[in-house]
Amino acid sequence: MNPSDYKVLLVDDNTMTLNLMSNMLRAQGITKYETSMHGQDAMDKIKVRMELGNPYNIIFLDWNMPDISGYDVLIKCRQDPKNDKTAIVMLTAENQKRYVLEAIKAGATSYIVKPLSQDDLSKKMKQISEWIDTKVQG
Amino acid sequence: MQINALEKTLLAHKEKIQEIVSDTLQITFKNYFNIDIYKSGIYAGKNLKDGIFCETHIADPANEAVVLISFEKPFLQELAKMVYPPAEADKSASMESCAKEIANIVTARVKTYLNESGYDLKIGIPSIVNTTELSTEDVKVSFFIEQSRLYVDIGFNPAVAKKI
Repeated sequence: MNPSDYKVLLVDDNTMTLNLMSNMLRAQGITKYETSMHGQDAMDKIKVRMELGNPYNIIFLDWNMPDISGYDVLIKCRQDPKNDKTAIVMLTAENQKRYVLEAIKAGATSYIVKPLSQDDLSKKMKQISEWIDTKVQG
Repeated sequence: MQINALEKTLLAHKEKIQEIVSDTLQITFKNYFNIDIYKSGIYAGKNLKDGIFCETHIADPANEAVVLISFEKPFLQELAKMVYPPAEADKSASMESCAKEIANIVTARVKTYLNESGYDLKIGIPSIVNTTELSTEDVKVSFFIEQSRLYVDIGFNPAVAKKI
């Protein structure tokens, strides 16, 4: 699958991060992205996409958000097998190993520690693309 | 005034925390804004007249501390211009978003260091506070960038307990 075809959801309660991530995704050739600033809004968007049979390929989820955390959204998403082919990438400033393990155990595809650089995102995107290709072919 | 166990911990780790804050600010400005800054040490005594203040709560099961980071408003305006479209860059909300994200990253790194040292801290959501609330804060982190030199100052005040 070509990255320019990816449908992406960016979830973060901070507009600066949303703008930075949007710029970085565009630099990766990814232009089909939507943004969300709340956990509940993100879950609503994911549900609508699922019902339309047009799920996101990648969801970038900020861990630390008010009300519904990114971790809670991850858990909810992974409870529905229809999201199995969606890569979920946790975004957080927490660089403790136990959080990485916790996220992977809960079904995260990958984990990005802020402040990420364009190069960090580029490397992660290669891994994520491989994961998506494996799922699509499978 | 008495300080709680968590504040004593922060005080005991002051030098290391200062180093973590400096390192985190360096990498954040490089990655997010492509700004190279160099550590220059402590610059105490800078009087921040036109500032934005952001607090983040950290807590263990028994105690709580507040990390307060101050930003010079003109500096935040410059950062916002690099990230936001022109029509949004000068809005207070944009500058506050920049302040909150930087505060979140810095505080999370401090928390990570302390947790790896055996503590069990949780972190709250950063919020903008008025300068009139300053007297209640525990850990003050001030930083200034002048001519590509980074100055970080960390001070500690006794706190009034707040819940996350």
